[in-house]
Amino acid sequence: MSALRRLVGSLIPGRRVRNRLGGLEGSVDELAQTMVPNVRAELLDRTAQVDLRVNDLRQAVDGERERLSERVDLLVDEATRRAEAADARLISEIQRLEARVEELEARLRDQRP
Amino acid sequence: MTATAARRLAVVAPLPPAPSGIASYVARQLPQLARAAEVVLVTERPDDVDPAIREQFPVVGLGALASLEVDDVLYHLGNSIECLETNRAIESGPPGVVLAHDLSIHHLVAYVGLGGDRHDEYRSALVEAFGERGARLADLRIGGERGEAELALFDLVGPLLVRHRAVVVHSTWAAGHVRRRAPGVPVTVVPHFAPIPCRRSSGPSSACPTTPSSSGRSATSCPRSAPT
Repeated sequence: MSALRRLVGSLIPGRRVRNRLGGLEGSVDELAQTMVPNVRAELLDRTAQVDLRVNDLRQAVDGERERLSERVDLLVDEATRRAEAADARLISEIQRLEARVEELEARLRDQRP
Repeated sequence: MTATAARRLAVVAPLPPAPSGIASYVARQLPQLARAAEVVLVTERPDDVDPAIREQFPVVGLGALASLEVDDVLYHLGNSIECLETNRAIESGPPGVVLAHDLSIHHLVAYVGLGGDRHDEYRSALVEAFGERGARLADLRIGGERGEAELALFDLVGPLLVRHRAVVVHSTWAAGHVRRRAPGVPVTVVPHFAPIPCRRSSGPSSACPTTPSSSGRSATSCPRSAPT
């Protein structure tokens, strides 16, 4: 008998089967009546546990997101300050060079006949 | 010592054989400094210093710094564990000139403060340097949020430099940064191993000490340091 036939056969109502795991024995209907409430209770319990775990994870993710956001804010703020300071230095240097160019051009004009 | 070496200069730094680039730098600089001043070396473990250096220069511990009779103090600021005690001297010793080899010491401060479970000291250092932003960053990092970028951006050098008379750096970029961190403190750029400028009154090149230079330029050409 193939594994598939055995499986299908085990699901025929009234057929006596042995639940090897639980050690129970009886018809599929009898086993269903015994097991379904237990399975339902277990599933509800596990669902509640999963919900709790999901909640924990959600809180952890929220906390992580908050910390990362705070960290990014601080980094961007400091990087911006540095960039602005560098800009200011560059602008100052450009102005100094422009003034120097004007000065040299004026001197050149003065030297021309 | 030359006849002009009347000034006494304390040099505060790690020294060979300490595994530190700064120690090697200082050792290489000593012969030239000795031409300009009477040098006293101040370091964390004077007895461990290379005997060849101890034969040429007096070497004392950091505890003696405050009572040394010197005209000036040259501190070497670094970011490695070998610089921990000399950095503390920069923080609390007599005002002098600081040669800043690194523009961030956050790695070192974090190593000691977070790694050594000295969170209050770590937080205080960040608050002193960056105020409320520093407090926020300290709380994040104490809580475990520890990235690398912060170590460079939040450099922690300002409070150490601002109390000194002058700062020496190796690049114009570094000079700009130091001016921002320590406003009002004069900053000078001296490229790595720039020869001491010639004394023009004694001839065009006679007073220029020779200095090995990877750039290949002549030591007697007196390349300018860049006072800024």
